[in-house]
Amino acid sequence: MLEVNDLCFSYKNKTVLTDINIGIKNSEIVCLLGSNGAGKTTLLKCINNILKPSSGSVLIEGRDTNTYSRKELARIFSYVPQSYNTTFPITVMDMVMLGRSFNIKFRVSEEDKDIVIKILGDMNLIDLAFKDINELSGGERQRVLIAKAIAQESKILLLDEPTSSLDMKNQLDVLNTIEKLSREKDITIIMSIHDLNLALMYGDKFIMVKDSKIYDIGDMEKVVNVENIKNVYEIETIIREVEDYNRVLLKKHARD
Amino acid sequence: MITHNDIKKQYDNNFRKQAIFIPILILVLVVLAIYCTRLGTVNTSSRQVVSAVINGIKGNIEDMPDSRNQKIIFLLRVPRVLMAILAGVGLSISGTVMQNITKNPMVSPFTIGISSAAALGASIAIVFGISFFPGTSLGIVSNAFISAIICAILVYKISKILTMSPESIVLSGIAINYLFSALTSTIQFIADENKLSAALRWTFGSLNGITWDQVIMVFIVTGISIVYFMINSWKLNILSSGGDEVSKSMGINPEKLRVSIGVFSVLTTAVIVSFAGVIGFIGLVAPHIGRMIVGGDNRLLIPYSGIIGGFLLLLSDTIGRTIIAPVTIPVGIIISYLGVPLFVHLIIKSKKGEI
Repeated sequence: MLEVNDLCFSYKNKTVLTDINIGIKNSEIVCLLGSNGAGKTTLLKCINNILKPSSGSVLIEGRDTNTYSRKELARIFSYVPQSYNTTFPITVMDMVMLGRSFNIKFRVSEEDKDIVIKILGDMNLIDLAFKDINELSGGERQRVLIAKAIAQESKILLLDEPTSSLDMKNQLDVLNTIEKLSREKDITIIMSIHDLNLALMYGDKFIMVKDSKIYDIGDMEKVVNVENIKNVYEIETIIREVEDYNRVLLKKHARD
Repeated sequence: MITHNDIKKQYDNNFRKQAIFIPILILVLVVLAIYCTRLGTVNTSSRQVVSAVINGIKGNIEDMPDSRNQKIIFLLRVPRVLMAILAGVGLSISGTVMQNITKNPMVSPFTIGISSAAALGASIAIVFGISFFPGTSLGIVSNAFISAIICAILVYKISKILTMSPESIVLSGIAINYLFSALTSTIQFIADENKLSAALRWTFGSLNGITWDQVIMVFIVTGISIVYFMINSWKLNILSSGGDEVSKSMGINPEKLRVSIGVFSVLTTAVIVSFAGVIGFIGLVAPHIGRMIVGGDNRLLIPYSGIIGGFLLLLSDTIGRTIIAPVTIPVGIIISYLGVPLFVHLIIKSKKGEI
């Protein structure tokens, strides 16, 4: 159980988040929605205490994250940022192995190797195991970073736009993996995502952020509707149910 | 079809193959060091070198029949050869970790001004006699260290204002480098003639007149740094493989790691510059050659860079003191002649995918 209570965050006198209150149950898939610059990334970073909130608190099973050490937090949260640059060469397997860092000081154990190789298999990365990550395509690299987060074996996975650089097949592959992970291992997923249709296919709970505040929070019907989308994204849409899922269809902007 | 076990085997083999070369290369370096010690205006044999070292340590060189040669070996050549290796190792591992904590392949003790700053501190001690321990080696070293730390803080603060991008670190480094070089030149300009030559030495990078005391001091500092860097090598892998936020989310405190690693690398550089002057290039080139051979894993890269640096500087200094003997060309000059073509050759080859 994760609770965010009255959380505020300011950066250089600019308010980025105000009065954020969220409750998330274990193994839920939560989609953070909102336009660019609304504060989604900041909210993700505040949740795992990478950024210290100006006020308010984040509780894990009732305990304030401020009372955990960095190492303990690394066992609770893993985090996949939106963009990721590596200057120096590193192989896919070495990168995923870094996810096991809580268990590694210098020597890599047999158990670590087994776990990482299994994840590489699950993420369809076996053939790339010894390739330099800098030589991979955007989609492959994204899969590596998610694999690394999985290797961290934490209870909550925070993903910032996990599908932003992927083609459609890879988007579905990655989200299927994340969904499977959540269902099989009871892992809570919190991800910011721009594609509302993907969000509707995979999300259990939806949080819409607008102008540093939570605009709406709840299930699909409550949050992702024509009215809210118009207010948050300033676009006109139609919502239709096709094959069990609501689909958001865009209306073309009228020319000025 | 690649199986689970194939991957595991290959992963183990890759690491083992590269790790096993470390002791082999060290052994080759020792043999090369003995060979280089033999060379000079007075040619000697390997046996003489070994016996001079043993007698020198025991303190009974005077009793030996060829005590003059043994003294040349033990008091002049051995410290010089050891310093060449230690300076090469120290500057190269410092360059490696500096590149890692800044995530910047263009960083080295020389390119961000640390070496020039250390030279300035040393010059102040030599020319003006101003230091905490006037007239001693420790005085020179402490001055070099203080000056180098001030430089490191300046570069760090300025690049932080400029958002810490790779360009900003190098730009502020270059600017600070010029400032410290100018200050050193000013001191040389106003120094009296007999002190000028001593101060000038620091700008060339030279291993003339290295003593055992200095070798021992550099050995201790470099040794402690190697151990510290190796203990933190996995953490450095985390830090250099992604942004600070990712490092934090993996339980690392990036600022703390950066400062502690930074202090050790600056200290190592300062001690070496105090005695050997500004030797550029090695701290930049050795980590790159190391990466071409073993990749980015610091557990292997740090020892490999160090060994490569040791080899390069030993060869450079030996060429410098034998090629037009009895005239000695400073090692700082030779390393550029030797290192630049080698580096360019390797870069072109690796870009073509031949390495």
